Amino acid sequence: MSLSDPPIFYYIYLGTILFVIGLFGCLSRRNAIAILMSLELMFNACNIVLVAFCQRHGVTYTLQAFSRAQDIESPVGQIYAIFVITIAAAEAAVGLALAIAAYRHYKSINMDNINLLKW
Amino acid sequence: MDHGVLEYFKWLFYNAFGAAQPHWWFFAISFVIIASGIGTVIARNLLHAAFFLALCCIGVAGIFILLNAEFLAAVQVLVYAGGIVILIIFAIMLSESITGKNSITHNKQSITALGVSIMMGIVMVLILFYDQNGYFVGTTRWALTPYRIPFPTEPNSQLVGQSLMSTYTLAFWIASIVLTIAMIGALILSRREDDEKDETVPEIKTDAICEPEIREENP
Repeated sequence: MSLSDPPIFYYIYLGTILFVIGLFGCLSRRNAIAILMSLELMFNACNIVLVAFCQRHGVTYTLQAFSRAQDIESPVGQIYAIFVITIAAAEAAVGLALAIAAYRHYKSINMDNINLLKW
Repeated sequence: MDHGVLEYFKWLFYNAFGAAQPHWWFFAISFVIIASGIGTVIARNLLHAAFFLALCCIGVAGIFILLNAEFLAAVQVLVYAGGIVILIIFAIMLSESITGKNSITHNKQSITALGVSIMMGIVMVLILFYDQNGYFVGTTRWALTPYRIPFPTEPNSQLVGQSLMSTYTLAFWIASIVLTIAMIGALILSRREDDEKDETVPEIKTDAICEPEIREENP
């Protein structure tokens, strides 16, 4: 552990900024694949904040939540982040298959053209 | 402790750029992450956006290394920069070719979307730094813990693996089932029906180079 270990709110601000960038991309892009890429940015922001809180406060919170010693030594936030990455991989596969299917049907993947359910 | 917001920002500025605590690695990696994230969002060429996304994921892996999560950094590089970005590039190349000069890549609500997302970020920061009584808690102990509680002092890949195999085994199994279902679903969704004539893909002759103009004549 070095002296140059930044405090946790740096990570929180970094995650917030990345989430805001991804949200802006989700709201303003026209291409479906670009929207999926912005979603990946938002997943990354969540992972940063999860791992930062796990590193700083994971021990105290797991001490409150569990009783056994092997449970206390559990990196909960990293496990959560691994499952977030797993679900992100599944989401990317299904979403890109949906984008390809929509492209095959509509001949474009602009989200402005896919407005069948829009009122 | 109730500090004013202005004093808090002065304090934050001193913490970030003062001579006392140089967090240069963190700021370098954050700059790479934020710049490549903005590039992902505003790039006109979708392939450039995908490469920016890969750079952003590698930067996030660097942040994980700063946080002593080496296994997660390796998983991040392998799955995101190796898997998801390649999948996205394949999808871009399979769908319409957007090289970007004349195509409009953002919709008309871009300014509104920018305002909404910035307000969302402000609300998230306020939720984090104010407690339920309206007091400012951004300078209390939970935000200020300067050093890690000395639990995972070593690289903790072994601990992550043991936890995945012992405590979180059920979630591990369920995640594998979810991945299998997603793979089958992606196969079914992207499968072409047999009787349906696919008109989007032009006939590729073995000798001729497939011109992109053919694709625009068809619809």
